[in-house]
Parts: sequence; C-alpha cells; structure tokens
Amino acid sequence: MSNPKQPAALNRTFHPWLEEGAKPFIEFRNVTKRYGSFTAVDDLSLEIFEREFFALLGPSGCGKTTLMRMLAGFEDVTEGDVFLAGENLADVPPYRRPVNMMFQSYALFPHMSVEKNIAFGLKQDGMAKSEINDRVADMLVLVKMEQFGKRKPDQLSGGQKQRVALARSLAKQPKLLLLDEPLGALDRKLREETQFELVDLQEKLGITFMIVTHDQEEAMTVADRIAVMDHGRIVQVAPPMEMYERPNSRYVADFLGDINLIASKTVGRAKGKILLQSDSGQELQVTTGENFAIDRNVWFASRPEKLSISRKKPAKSINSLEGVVWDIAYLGGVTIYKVKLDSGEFVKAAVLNSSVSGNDIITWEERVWISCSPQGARILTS
Amino acid sequence: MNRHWSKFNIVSVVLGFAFLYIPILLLIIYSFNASKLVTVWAGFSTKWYTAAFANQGLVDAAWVTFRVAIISATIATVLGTLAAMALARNTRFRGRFLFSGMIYAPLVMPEVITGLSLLLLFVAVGMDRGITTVTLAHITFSMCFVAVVVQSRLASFDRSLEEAALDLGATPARAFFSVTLPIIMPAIVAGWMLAFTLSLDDLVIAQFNSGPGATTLPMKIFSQVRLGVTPEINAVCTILVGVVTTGVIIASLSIKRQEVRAARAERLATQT
Repeated sequence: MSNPKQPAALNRTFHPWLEEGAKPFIEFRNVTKRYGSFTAVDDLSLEIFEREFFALLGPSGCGKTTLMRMLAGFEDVTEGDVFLAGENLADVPPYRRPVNMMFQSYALFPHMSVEKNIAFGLKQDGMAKSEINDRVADMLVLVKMEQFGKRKPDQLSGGQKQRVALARSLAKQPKLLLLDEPLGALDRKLREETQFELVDLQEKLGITFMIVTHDQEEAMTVADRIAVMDHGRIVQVAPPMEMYERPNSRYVADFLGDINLIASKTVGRAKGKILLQSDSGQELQVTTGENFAIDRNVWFASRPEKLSISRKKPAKSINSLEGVVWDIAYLGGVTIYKVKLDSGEFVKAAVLNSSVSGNDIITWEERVWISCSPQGARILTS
Repeated sequence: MNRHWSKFNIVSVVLGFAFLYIPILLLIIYSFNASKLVTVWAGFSTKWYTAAFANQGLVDAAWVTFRVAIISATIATVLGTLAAMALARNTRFRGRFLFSGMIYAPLVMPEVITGLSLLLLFVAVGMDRGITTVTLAHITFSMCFVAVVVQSRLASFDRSLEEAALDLGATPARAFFSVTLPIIMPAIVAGWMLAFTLSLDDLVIAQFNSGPGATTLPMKIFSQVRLGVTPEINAVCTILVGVVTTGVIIASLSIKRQEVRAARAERLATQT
C-alpha cells in the first residue's frame, strides 16, 4: 500500500526505495528459517538500500533478530538467498563478511582494555601497528571516550560500554552495521540522547545501518524506513510517518502508537469519501483515495490525537459521537481521555495541554462529544 | 544481622571443627615427637623430617607421585576442557545424552571398579604396568572432574563474546584462543588443580595399575603403615598437608584480590 506522494513535512530527501531501477544493497529473497518445527522467518523478501538507516520492529519472537543474525552470518538460511552488494552470502563465514554487529549485551571482551577491544578487529586484518593506533584513537574521539582507552570494560558505566561497543563495531569501517537492541540497557534520558547521536553518526559516516528494536519510538526516531514484523513475516515497510499515518493493518496501527477502532460496514461513496455505518448504527465518513467495495466489514480507525473532545455538540456533526468520560490520564504535555460511547465502545482522545490549565476542564463522568474529521481517520480492512 | 553467637552456635562450631581437624592436628603434633613410639610424647624434635628426607624409598615415591600428578592433570585438563566444550556448545547432537552420561559416569563409579577394569585393559593389550599405566589411569578418572568444572563455567559464558570475535574477523580458532580461552582460564586452572590433588592422593586406582618402580607416595605410606605407624610417616603426611594448605591459601588470596579489584572497578564505573 505504498503511496508515491511523500508528505511535504518529510524533510529528508533521501528515499532510494522510491527510485526506479535503484539497486538494493541488501536483498532477502524468499528467505525461510526453521528451527525444527518452529518457523522463525517465513518466506520473507526485503530490499534495503545503501546508506539507509533501516529498522526492524516487532515484538520478541517475531523473527527480527534471526533476520539480522542471518546477515551477520550466525544463522544459516533454511530456504532462499541473502545478497549483500550483489554477492550471495550463503557460503561466506561471519569472519569474512564486510558486516559488523553491535551486540545487545555489548559483548565487550572483559580481559581486554577499551583500546584493545577496539583494535581487535583491525588486528585480525593484519593492519600495521601504527595504523591500528591511529584508527583506535580516531574511534575513541568519535564516541567521545578519549580518556577511557586504558580502562577495562568492568570499569565503565552502561552508557560508556555502549559507546565502546559502537566504536569497536565501526573500527573496521564496515559496509553495513547491525545494531541489535543497542540502547536497550540504557535509561530513558540517555537512550533518547543516544538515538539522535546514532542518527548523526550514520549520516556522517555514510554507512548502512540496520537496527533491531522492539521500541517503536526508537525505530521512528532513528530510521529512514521501518519494517514491522510479526510471526516471521513483514507486515509493512514504510518510512516512519507513512507507517504511522497510513498503517496497512490493525496490527501495525496498534504496534506503532495508539489507535481507536470501530467495527463498521461500508455503505456508500461521496466526493472522495467513503461512508460507513458502525456496528452500533452510527454514521461515519472517511476521506480516502482508495476504493472499497460496498457492504464490506471494515474498521474505522483514528489516532487519539486526531479526536477532539467537547461539551457541546460540534457544529459540523460529521463523525461526532456522544459518551461519558470514563478515565483521565494527565501526562503533562497531553491529557488522555478515555470515553465510553453510548454505543458501549471505548475510545481514547488525546488533548494537547497548550495553555496553563484553568479551572474549566472536562472531568470525570461528564457527558461529552467526541469528533473526528473525515481526514483524520482511516479505513482498515485487516 | 545478629552478631552475637548463641551458646548453641559456639558449641556446634567447636564440635564441627574438632570433628574435622583433631585427627590431622594429632598427626602434625606427633610428627614432632622425639619418641619412636607414636603414641607416647617424649619432647619436641624435627628428626623425623630429616629421616623422611633420608629415606630413599619415600623420596622416590614422592617424585613418582608428583610426576604422575602433573602429567595426568595436564592431559586430563586438555581432554576435559574439550569434552566440556562439546557438551556446552552443541546442545543437540546425536548421542549427546549418551556422551554426557559416559563423561560423568566415572564420577560415581566405585574406584575399585575403575581400577580393576583399567588393569584388565592394560593386561589385555599387553602393556607393562608402570608409571605410564598409572598416569593413563589417573587421566581417565580425573578428566570427568575437569569437564564438570569447565562446563559449569561455560554454561554462564556469554556466547556473543565469541560471536563478536568472529564478527570482527577472527577465525573460529583465533576466537577460541584470544577470547574464549582467556576468559574460562580460571575454571581450567581450577580443574587442573582438582585433577592434580585427585591424582596426588589416589591409592586404590594406583594400587591396581602400578608396577615395579612406580610406587606412588600414598601406596608407600599405606604399605609402611601396615608394618606399624612410624613418626617418619607422620612427618611426610604433615608435609603433604602443608603443600595442600599452601595451595588453598594461595587460591583464596587470589580470589580475594579479584573481589577487591572488581569492587574498585565498580567504584570507577559509577564515578564517571
């Protein structure tokens, strides 16, 4: 369900996946991985382009780590082929691949100093000693760890270890860097900071990055494109904004952020809109360029921040539903209202707290109107 | 935590230690006895130590014992480590259960049976019994102890360390020697020391498999004791106790030092 027109707000002009005839840097071709009777990756095909920052997103056990480990060479492919820069990787052992990986546990060698850890890969290549020293020094500067070169990994904090692991995996200047939940062990503040640093680093070095994560915010922050996975299959591949605004299924919509779903039926079309009737009898409208057959079971889907909440019935009564405030979560920046509609369904509306709040705020058990513009909703069929 | 000891605690600790150490203490005390009679105290003397070192039979036996212990411990460590690697790394291969059972069987096998079966083997292949057969026998029964020690270390070994080495371009052999081996070294050393002490004090298996000119110290002591306990034997045993105690003290000091170092590392990590 790719839309050739990119949203104007997407400020990065880098999107090789839209260019015709662009050669993929990494290609998974009908790849299947089975462990006994368990299928970890199921007939999966995927193309990733040079200099892309690509995120594999999904719950644990969805096959994302297996997919990454196939690129590193730690897992065999049961069926299908994996190509890197046009070369079939089937018979290339891990130590001959131009790929480096940053491990979730960092996997720093505990018996070696920071410098020795970073130099390890260079030494395997038989690089001259003076050259190794220069490269190690450069790497330490790159990750801002100059004064820690002589320390052992035990003597570093979690954030410092993460930097050393990053430096070590970048030291050999790989064509592709794999990051396996690289920030999972860091606390929230540090994680957010590091996400931006990763993006800067990737742009500066021009290396293709592939990150595995189960954190949707992390994926959206760092990646050019995200692939959402479920049960060994890719559900959708898209840039973060497209993925969030135009999810192709309830699974993706729910995995990336929050979504309100109202089971409905298509009943008619009018001027670029599809008319729906919810199962509880409400009339709903959605603006969409797509076409849907009439009398089909679908879901009316809308993000909480696209709903508005008011005490009075809105003048334009399209997509307005009445209900009672059931629960309120005040999160500082936004307030989430959980409203029980008269039809019995629950919806969540997020209200931006744009001014210092006064006394006249909607509170528990008040009767309210929830409304959503036809542009703020989507129709999901699966 | 309660720092005061109740009477019950004191009594049980004293009794426990007494039970364990009074026999050894007696042995040490009587090794300094001037009298030739083991049970009659006749003043302090170190003459039995001199006598022990002058006893060529005892010195020869000690030399044989140490040679056997060092060689068998070393070979058992290599083999045991390989077995442990196979068991820890390949969690599913055909016959793994049988393999692990067969590695560990000697742990619970009565020594008499191990000794006898090895003897039968050596006789069957026509091998003259001597220092070689004792060494082989010791390798056989101490290897499984090494395997147990090393495997338990490998169980907690982060496989991604090895993968990281491969990922950075090291061949599997180089990854093993430059990453895995240094990290599991303490377990290998512990396994070696275990094999060494097992070989040092083994009597039963050595009895079955040794021949002329390959009398180990435990065999010598045992045969002498049958003719009556002499203070000379007490002196030799005291030296053995001394050697073992020194080993234990060195080992615990190095563990203590590691702990101190780890604590310092932790402080450094949290400071910055």
